[in-house]
Amino acid sequence: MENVYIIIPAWNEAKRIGQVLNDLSAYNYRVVVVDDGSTDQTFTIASQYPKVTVLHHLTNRGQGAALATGTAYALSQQAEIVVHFDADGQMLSSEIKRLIEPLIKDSSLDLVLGSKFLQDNIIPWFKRYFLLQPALLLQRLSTGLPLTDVHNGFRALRANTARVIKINQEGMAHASEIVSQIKRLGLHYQEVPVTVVYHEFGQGMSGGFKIIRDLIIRKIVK
Amino acid sequence: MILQIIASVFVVYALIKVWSRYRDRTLSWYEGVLWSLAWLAIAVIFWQPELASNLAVRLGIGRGADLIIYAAIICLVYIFFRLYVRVDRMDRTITKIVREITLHDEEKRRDNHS
Repeated sequence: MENVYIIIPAWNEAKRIGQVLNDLSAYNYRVVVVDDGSTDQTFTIASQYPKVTVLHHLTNRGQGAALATGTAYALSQQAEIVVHFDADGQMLSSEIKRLIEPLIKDSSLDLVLGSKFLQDNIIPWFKRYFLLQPALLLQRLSTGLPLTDVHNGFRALRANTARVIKINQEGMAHASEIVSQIKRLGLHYQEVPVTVVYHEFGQGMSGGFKIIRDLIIRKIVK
Repeated sequence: MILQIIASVFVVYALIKVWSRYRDRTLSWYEGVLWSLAWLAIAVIFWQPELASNLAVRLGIGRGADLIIYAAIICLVYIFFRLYVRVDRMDRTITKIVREITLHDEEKRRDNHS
């Protein structure tokens, strides 16, 4: 399968984007960085990689919006599989294969989701027990999907799946929105274990509340 | 008396603003009517406060001043919600425009290179 597109939304990731792109250059994927209106050198650094397509948002619109732009671009280029990947070095490019292989082998699968809880990962205890576990419970209650992980942005979608999943949430709530759509559209998914390398704490309590607020607002405002 | 006059001047100013917004099509006709009625009601209550008290007694609230505060809170929450909805829609529109520009720029760049 040739047309595997890796979509990397990046906002002010000048410190790490170079390393992420270096790692990815060892593989034969088509890499698309969506610079989401960064005010640092993210765009300049990403543009130094001739094989990488760098899209540029004029202004910061959020991770969900950047993913949707990258996905739209990949689909316009006849992508067969679209992989969502982070720019901060949390995910390992060597594990992309793990996500796309099930899609190649099993044609009934629509998407593959990464799960950091299916293997041993070093996760800050506060994040694990006070943020991720409650969020996972909330996700199970609201969607009814028995997923093992919450807000894991590492996922691989077949082109047809990427076409039907509509990312309307501009911010971080897109991850919950995608899970809701998996349930609503009855998509066939598989979870695979992935590594998460925490360089920073990531989203804290306020980030979690923001996600809940965005989800509620979009439920009211169609 | 002084307070009533100040309030009336302010209401007249607000009504002029409402009508000018209606004339430049910023407000629809029903929004114009609603805002006009709201400002006129404020003027009436300043000149005839017993009207608010009578209405409050009928609604079982007790005091006219309490009725005004309750009504004001309801109105403010409604206005806040309307504004939130509008900002949210604008946000989505901006995202669509930014996305279109991004994809268009990339297409142009590719055309120039080929």
